[in-house]
Amino acid sequence: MNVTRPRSPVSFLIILLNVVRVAVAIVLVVAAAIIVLALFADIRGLELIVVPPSFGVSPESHNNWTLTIPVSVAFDGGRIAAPSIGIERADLQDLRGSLRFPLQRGLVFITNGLLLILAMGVGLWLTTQLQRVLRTVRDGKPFAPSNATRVRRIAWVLIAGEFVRAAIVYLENSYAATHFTAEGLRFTARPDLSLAAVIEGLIILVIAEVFRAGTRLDEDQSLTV
Amino acid sequence: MAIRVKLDHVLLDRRLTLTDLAERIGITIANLSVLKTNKARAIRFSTLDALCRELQCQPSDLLEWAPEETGKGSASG
Repeated sequence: MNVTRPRSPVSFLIILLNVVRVAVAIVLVVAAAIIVLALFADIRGLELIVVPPSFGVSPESHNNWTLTIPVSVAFDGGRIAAPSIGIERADLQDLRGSLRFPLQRGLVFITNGLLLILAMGVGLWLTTQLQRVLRTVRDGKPFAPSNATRVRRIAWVLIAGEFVRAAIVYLENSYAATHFTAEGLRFTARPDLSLAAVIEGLIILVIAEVFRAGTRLDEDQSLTV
Repeated sequence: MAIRVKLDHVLLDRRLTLTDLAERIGITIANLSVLKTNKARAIRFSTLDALCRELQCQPSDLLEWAPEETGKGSASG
């Protein structure tokens, strides 16, 4: 039973995931090498461009490393109003952004570097699992017994990953709130758990159960004479 | 499973090989082998029909129920 057509999007996705995997692997290796190197040598002249979703190390034009962390801020500045439409007072809420500052070597640098490597490692693992699932789909064996396990693992990693990400964002927020000040702005620490991401993970868990049921049916079918 | 397929006995009686039977009823040797070695989970009526027709036998000649030996009851049949 071959369920994919020759020009199926599955083949394209497999190629795309290959490219992503190689890119992530290269970034992982380069990031790890530079972070280890930075502990022992002055590498300010070296440029590294790594922009993960919530933290990272990026080059400055004047060859000075910067660290970017997620921040949550409250606006304490001037009054916000829209007189032309008769609104005298409005509030800015849920302000989130990134704070970039010159990198100081130490615990923060090492922690962020390790988190970056961890995120890349998890990304590499996820893409590998997804690619293996897609390969079985391409080969006409979507209900291979290992697929249900793979999909279930992907789901749990996504759910756990979201909690870990939220915790990291909270800690980074707290770091900014503790050490940084700004006129008109107040750095705060707020939880940033994405319920959508957790629900996505739960939906993938349901899909894993569908795979498990499909595997059972497929086995029954293959052993029906 | 408590249902056993007695295809090997019937084949022996008829002096037929699995390959001969597979060719006559148009079922692959692999599938017949699954049946013969009691690995099958289900058998289609069409398969049973073809087997009975070719082997000139009844379904009861091909299948038997034998209680599994995990219980304390004695085996029968």
